[in-house]
Amino acid sequence: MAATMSAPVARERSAFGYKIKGQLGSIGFVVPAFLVYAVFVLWPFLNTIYLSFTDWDGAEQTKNWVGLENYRDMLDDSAVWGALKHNIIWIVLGTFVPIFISLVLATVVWSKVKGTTFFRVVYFMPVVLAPTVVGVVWRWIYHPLFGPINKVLDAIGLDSISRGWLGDPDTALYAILFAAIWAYFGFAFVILTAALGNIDDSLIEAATLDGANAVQRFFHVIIPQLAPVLTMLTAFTLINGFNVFDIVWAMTLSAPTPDTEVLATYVYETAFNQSKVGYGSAVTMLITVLSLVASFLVIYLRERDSEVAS
Amino acid sequence: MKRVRRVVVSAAVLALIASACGGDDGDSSEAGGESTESSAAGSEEGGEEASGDKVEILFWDQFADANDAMEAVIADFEAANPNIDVTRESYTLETMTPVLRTALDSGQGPDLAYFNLGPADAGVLANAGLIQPLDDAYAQYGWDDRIYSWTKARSTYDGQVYGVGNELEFLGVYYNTALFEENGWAVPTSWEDFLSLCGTISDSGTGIFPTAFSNGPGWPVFHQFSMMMNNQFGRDGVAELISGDTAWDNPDTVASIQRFFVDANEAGCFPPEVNALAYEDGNALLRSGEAAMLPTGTWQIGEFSDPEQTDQTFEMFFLPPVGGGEPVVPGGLGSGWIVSSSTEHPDEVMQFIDFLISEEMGPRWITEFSRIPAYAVDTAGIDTTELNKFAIDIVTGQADTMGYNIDVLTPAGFNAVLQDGLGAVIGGSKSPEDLASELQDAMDEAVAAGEVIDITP
Repeated sequence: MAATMSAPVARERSAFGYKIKGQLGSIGFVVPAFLVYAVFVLWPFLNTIYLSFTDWDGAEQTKNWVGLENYRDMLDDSAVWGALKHNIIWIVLGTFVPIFISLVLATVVWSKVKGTTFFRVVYFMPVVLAPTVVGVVWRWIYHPLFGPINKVLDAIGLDSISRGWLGDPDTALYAILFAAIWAYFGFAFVILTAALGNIDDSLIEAATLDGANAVQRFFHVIIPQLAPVLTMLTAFTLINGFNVFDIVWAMTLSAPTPDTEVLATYVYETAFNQSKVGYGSAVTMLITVLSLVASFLVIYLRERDSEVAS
Repeated sequence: MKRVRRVVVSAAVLALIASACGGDDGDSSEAGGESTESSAAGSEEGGEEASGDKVEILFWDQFADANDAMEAVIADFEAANPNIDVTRESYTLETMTPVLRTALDSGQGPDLAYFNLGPADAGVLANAGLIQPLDDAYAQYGWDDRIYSWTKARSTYDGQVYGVGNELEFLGVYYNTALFEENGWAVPTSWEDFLSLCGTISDSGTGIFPTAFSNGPGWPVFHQFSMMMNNQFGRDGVAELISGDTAWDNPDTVASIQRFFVDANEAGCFPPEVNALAYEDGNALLRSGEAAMLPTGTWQIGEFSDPEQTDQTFEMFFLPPVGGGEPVVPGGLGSGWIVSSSTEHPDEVMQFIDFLISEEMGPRWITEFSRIPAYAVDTAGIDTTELNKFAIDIVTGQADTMGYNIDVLTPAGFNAVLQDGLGAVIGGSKSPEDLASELQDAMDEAVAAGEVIDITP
């Protein structure tokens, strides 16, 4: 009896022990990456939270605790709200426009038009350029005296439209955003092209047999199957929209004006140029919270819709 | 066997990670800096003594535009001081500003740096105790008798001097002498003449822009603002404004802003879309003869005197006041030398500074670096451009009576309001009255935060 009773217990203990031992190797490979993450991401993040409650100037040896003062100042700072407005514009236009453009182009290319590979390469090329390079190139394109845009407009008699695109408060932000969309849509295009490759053709055939036209097939068959990828792209682009810095910095010659300032450039200005690292950290927290909330909302709404649909 | 293999691989991975995270490898290169080894003695981070009691000091500068000249200076110093090796890294001001603060704070920064001596730059480092006072060095090396006394005052914080000024600059208007002569244009002697000249040039049919003023990066407006304000308030009046003793929101401030940033714009003085033009674009317009004048500072003398960059000839006049009379030339101290608090070789660093501001170096700063040193230099016998000689003579003759470069002395937050505000005035979205009011608010905030320095005599 004892021998019989002990056998299953022994097997269970052995199985559990084997489970732990079997995972040791995996844990061993994960821990170093987590350590790197903890040192270069987690620790600076926690430190930034701490700094946001201080008045540190980036140089003093001591950091004075000021509680919520930075956050109160932020609520009264019109520059923060102006920058946030620009970020929202950036997110709305900078998310949906490139995704829409890339979705349309990916669908066209997916339908096996001639030159598919050529178009994939051409559309993706801007993505490999560094944002600073994009900024320099587009600054030249927008140049008020020598840039091709104004030259063409002047040549075709539309000189009333030509202007200093990056110096005009009505157009500066949108001019930068246009360059950013140009540099980004190729990335979304590649992602969506890959996703389209996994579309279930049988559903499309069935819809065709049922009499659905191309537009109906696109919205009712293709889009639903692309939903997880679109959700991921939207969330990714949203977060980037709150964090945008380099292309704005490059195209404004490191001096955004109130018409082009975004939250990240304002953080740089206050933290490093005005020696208000504590305050800059508080604005950084605002960016973080907004990014997290926006991403959560997108994913939550998408998951809820897919549950309702199923 | 599988288990053994797993253990061996895990151990190997951990060993690789441990070796990659190993201690300092002695590389003295900093991100954003161009490291130059000036001697054959190796490149260990500053402070370590090599064999033969050699001392190595790490030096950060901003002389990328005169790279060969600075290397030659260092070579001469090392030849005269064989026990000292200088390792040099060159930065732009924009990259040095955030990096220097962090580097000094970590104790890994340079022993000596060439940096802006104003309150928003060296002043921050001084208040944080990251750079050391130089009063003793001034006394020991007799620098008080060498450099202009007002430059020492400009780098004094809490009663102690923290920098040695090296580069003087003032503001004026470059003009193309050939264009003026060919077209019969005269150098204006009053503000009204200046506006009239702009109209004349605009209407001349030559296609030449009256000025090459460009405000893409935002900060060029500081210079024109300083010119107008110094002419309006005079040297002492500007000192009182900067020190917070006089309100900024007064009719004279409004008038100064109105004259240059509205009236001059409407008179056709500016190229089109001036807020979209990079500073380099404006310089290029002047160099190429497509613009007749450019109000900016003496730091451009090198570029406008270089036959490899321009075939035009330029001289300089000072923006005249309303109604004529003697203009008040805004001048100031550019960058200078600061010393890390944690340097292990202060004596050697001071020796290097002493060499850099020596009498022998004076002509070299002018001819090789196109910079005006912070001490008197006899230009007779120096082979340099007429513009350089003009600048030296002005500084030598007016060093103690010049006006002020306002943005060098006002707090960073105030400057941010000024920069954005003047750009908006140019663009027509803000009135001079509103800007003057915002400047006063910014000054009030800076006073409350203890960021304002008192420069009144």
